[in-house]
Order: sequence, then structure tokens, then C-alpha cells
Amino acid sequence: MGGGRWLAGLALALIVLTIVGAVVALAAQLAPAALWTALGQRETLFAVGLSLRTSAIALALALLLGVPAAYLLARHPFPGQAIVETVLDLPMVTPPLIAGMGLLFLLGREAPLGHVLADAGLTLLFSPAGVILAQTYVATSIVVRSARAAFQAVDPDFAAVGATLGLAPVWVFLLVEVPMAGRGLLSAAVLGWSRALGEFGGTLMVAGATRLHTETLPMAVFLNIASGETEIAIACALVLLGLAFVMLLTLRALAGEPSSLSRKPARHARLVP
Amino acid sequence: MTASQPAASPLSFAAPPPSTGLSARFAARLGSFSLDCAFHLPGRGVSALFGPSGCGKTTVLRCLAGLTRLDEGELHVNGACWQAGRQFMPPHQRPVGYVFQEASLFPHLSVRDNLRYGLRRARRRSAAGSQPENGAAIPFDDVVGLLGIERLFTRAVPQLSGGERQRVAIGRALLSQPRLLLMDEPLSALDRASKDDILPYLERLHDALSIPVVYVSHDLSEVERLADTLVLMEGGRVLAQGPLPAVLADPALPLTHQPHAATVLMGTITGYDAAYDLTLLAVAGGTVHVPGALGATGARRRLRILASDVSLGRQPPLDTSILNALPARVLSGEPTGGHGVTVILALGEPATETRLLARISRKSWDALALRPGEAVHARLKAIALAPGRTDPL
Repeated sequence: MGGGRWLAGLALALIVLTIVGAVVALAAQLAPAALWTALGQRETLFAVGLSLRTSAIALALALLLGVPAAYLLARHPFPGQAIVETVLDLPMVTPPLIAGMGLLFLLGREAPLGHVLADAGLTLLFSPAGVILAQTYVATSIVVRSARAAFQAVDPDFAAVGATLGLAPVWVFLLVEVPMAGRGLLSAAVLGWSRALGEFGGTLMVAGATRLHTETLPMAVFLNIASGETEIAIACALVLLGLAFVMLLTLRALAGEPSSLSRKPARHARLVP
Repeated sequence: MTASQPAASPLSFAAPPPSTGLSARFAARLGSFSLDCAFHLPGRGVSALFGPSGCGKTTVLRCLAGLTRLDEGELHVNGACWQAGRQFMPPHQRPVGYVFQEASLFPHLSVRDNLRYGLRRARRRSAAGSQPENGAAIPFDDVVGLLGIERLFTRAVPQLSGGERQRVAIGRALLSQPRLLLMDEPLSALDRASKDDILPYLERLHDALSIPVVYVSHDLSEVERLADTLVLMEGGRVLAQGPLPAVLADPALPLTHQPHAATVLMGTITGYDAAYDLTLLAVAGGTVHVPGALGATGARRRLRILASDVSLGRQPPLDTSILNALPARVLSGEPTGGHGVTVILALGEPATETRLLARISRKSWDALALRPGEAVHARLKAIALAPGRTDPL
């Protein structure tokens, strides 16, 4: 028993040290003054602005589509649901690069759908709109999956109570189910946002890597490392790292407190003396 | 008139349904379980759906609320059609209050806000002008007072005990001004002490409400304390339905033969003997003495008498410590277990007779040579009184 535990402890230490090492190495690349200069560069600021804007819109779209869809999956089973759920999980397991390639062919000028969009004057490909498309694609999948779990954790009796108190189905959803699944839905949003913010492969395919046009933070890292301007690449990487830390802390805060919202309280809990 | 009704004969709705009360028929195959239930319940008082776990009573209750929709269903409440053929009123449009097995108070809201949920719909109804038909509204203060929940207002839901939570849930259901109150084993998730704590509130509710209550339970003692009408269910079918005392004492039904078989007598207080602290209650066939001061003259009380607490004699009892004896007529003797006989007795005049059960040994049955139609004296060793209730019957 003792030896096995030591070996496992060693493995744990190796993992933790590697992660810490990578973060520290990244952070130690630039002196504070140089970092400050790199952060102030027009290109860095553009990437931060574009990433925040596109990922916020992508998250809003992902929630708008994903939350009702997740509710349907959690509450109203339908024939063929397993197939639909497998399809929904596909974007999570396919490399985003491949997904982006698929979108590119689906929306390209030669494709029927792309043709229709082009005639309508919508330019999705190789534009900031394409960035949003790629980000929404990956974010929605994870939002659906997490939100479905959040709704499933709410006892369906509460919805029945809402109905017998006279709430129409849409109000049951908005006033009962969403608030009660609230914590889980917030986690879903954080996860979806982190996926959108870090999206790279799909964006590269659908929106391209054009400096100061479709240059999100990950794209800025890629472009500047490729051209040898490491300062901006590192500055952008550190911004992403900082945002990741904020999201991690948010997730911990959401999961840490006892989730009294989504579960019924213990039957005989009596806290009053 | 017999309390039992063949399970296979569904109610016919060829004639227009009665304008008061509730007529229902639900049928469906649910996997290996088949449900086929038809019953009619009066427009006032508590009707119990009673039967073992898994007999389909909760499904029937959910059908009444519209939470479950079965293949076949017809439901008329006070003359209004809630379901028939393709017609189906969705649950949020039905004026029902539903109390779940575990009080489903919204845990993200305070007690007060939970109660407001009920009021919200009531307000919308009255704004739409669809509410005030006959019965008056159920005022907020009455509900709060009746259930004793005022001091809980500011508490958070997780801080309530099981019994308190269930009382708030009942209050929330009532404040939505239902025309029908449905309760799904509201006490089953509670411990003994919480049950005893909440039962008096339910009894007060029973007396104060003018709307029908359908109460699902698998606990006969609850049913005996609360119900006026009993629908006996088993395996998805209705075995019998009728007034509670009649169904309890129907020898064709299993209730009569169980070890704790009991009957319920409705009594009226006629006086109080202060010297011995005994209340006199007039019941069918005579007067009984019950310990304690039970209320004002004229108030109605419900007595529960276990069959095993009743002994029989041919002569009026003399030289005995037993206080209560009533003249009775033997209707039948039903062999029960190896050496017992359950005697079905009639109390009072034939027109208004009430039934009483006595569990005696087969040896005594033979020794007394009892036959149907014969007069006996039933001696009551103990009387259980459901405390604090008056009965509107």
C-alpha cells in the first residue's frame, strides 16, 4: 500500500510541477517594463478588444440557443434523442481545425448555403463574423452539455408545482427552472466562454489569420510567434492566462458553496435552535 | 346501498355529468401496469384515494391535476369539463392546488415569497374575472392563521422542519384559490412527531374548506381521521368507493379483515360530566362517554373504534368496568384468521344505521350462538377520538 501511494504521489507532483513550470516560464519571459510596453501595443489592444467582443457575442448566441435546447433534452425526451445528443457532442471531440474546415466548405461561395448567404450580402468567411461563428460553434456544444446536466439536477416536481400554481410553460421555464438551475447554468456559461476565448483552429479556417482584422488573442500569439515578435505573443498569452485564472476562480466559487439552489433541502434539516 | 362497486364497470358519461362534485375516469397501459379507474367524488369534504404503494393512486392524482395525460381520460369538476376525448385543459389553467409528497417549496425563495406565488395566480384570475363563481375566496389571513405559519414568514426554506415546510406548501396551494385541493401523501415524508404536529392542522382545514379535497394515502389511520369518502384502490383498479364508515365495514373488502380493522362513528356532543371529566357524545344507537372536555354542546366529533376493542354480550353489561355499551344488531360474522370472527354490527335505526366491527374469537361466536339479525350489546373497551375536529357531514 505504501509504495503504490508514493508512486502515485510522484505522478501527481510531476503533473503539478509541469503546469507550474510552464506558467512560470511564460511569465518570466518578459521584464515588467517590457511586458507593459507589449501590452500597450496597438496590435495587443486590438486582439484583446476583438477577443472580448467576439467571445461575448458568441457566448450570448451559445446561451440563447443552448439553454432552451438543453432544457428540451433534460425535460422532454423524444425518440432518437441519443443520436441527437451524440451529434451535439461531436464538436467537443472533433479537432476545431477539422470543424472549421467543415464550416468552410459548408459556407464557401461554391456551397449552396454559402451562395444563399452571399446573395443576401452576408459575409461570414474571413471576417470578424467568421470568428464569432467558429467560437459559437465550439461554445454551444459545451453549453448544451453543461446546461442539460444543470436542468437534470433540478427535481421535476418543482416544475409541476409551478404549473399547478398557474404558471404557463414559458414562465415555469423562466421563473422556476432557470433560477433553480442557476448555478449550473453560470458554470455552463463560464465553460462556454473559456472555449470561445481560446478558440483557434476553427477561427483559423473560417476567419483566417489576418493581422488587425481577424486577430483574436490566440491568433495574435500564433502570428507573432511565427514572425518572431515574441513580446506581443507573450503579452497576449499572459492576458489569456489571466482570464483563465479568473474563470477558474469563478467556477470554484460556483461549485464550492453547497448548492442549495438545485437540490431539495434535507428532509428534516432544522438549523434553528 | 352498498359501498362496493364492481371494478370492471366504468362510469358512464352518456348522461350529462352531475354539476357538483368530481367525475373521473382514467385508463392506460403503462408498461406492464394497467390502470383503469372510474369514480365520483362529492363536491365537499375530504375524499381519500387509499391503497397499497404502486396501486396507481398518485398517477390518478396527477391526472386530476393534468400533470399526467393518459391515453383515455374524462374529468368533470363541478359541471365543467377538464378532459374528454381530445379536449385537455393544461395544468396551469386548472384551478387546483397540489401538495406534493415532499413539500416542494422553492428553495431559492423565502417562505413569504413562496406564499406569494400562490397569490400571484389568484390575482390574475380575479383580474380576468373568472374567479368568483359560487364559493368565496380563501382570505390570506385565514390561511395563515389556520396553518399557523405567520411566524415562519421571514425564514429561509432550508431552515424549516419537515412539518413546517408541508404547512407552508399547503398554504401556498390554498392561496392560489383552487376549486379543488389535491394532496399526495403529504405526511409520508415526515417522522412520527411531525405527523402528529401537522394532523390537527389538516383536521382544521377539513372543517374550514368549502372546496373538495382529494387526499392520497397508504396510511389507514390518516384516512380514518380525515376522510369522508373513501376510494379503495388496488392494482390500478377501484375496488370500492363510498362514505368512509360504509367502506371500512364492508365485509367484501379487505379492510375489514386486517388486524387493525376499525370503524369510524360520527358523534354530536350532548353534555359534559364535570365530576368525572367525561364528555357525552350521541352516536347512532345511543350515547358514549369519552374522557376529557371535547368542546361545546352540539359540536361534531369523530370516533375511531378498533374492532379488537369491541366485545359482545347478549345482556346489557352489569357489574363491569366498561363504561360504554351500545345496543346493536348482528349483520354477519366473517371468519378472520385461524380463530377469529369479525362481526359486522348495525347501530341505530335501520334508516340511519351505522356499522360497527367487533373482532371476537370463534369460540365466543359459537358459545353465544350469534346469528344474523340477532340483537346484542356491543361493549366498547376503548374509544380513540381524533382530537379537536368538528365534522361538517
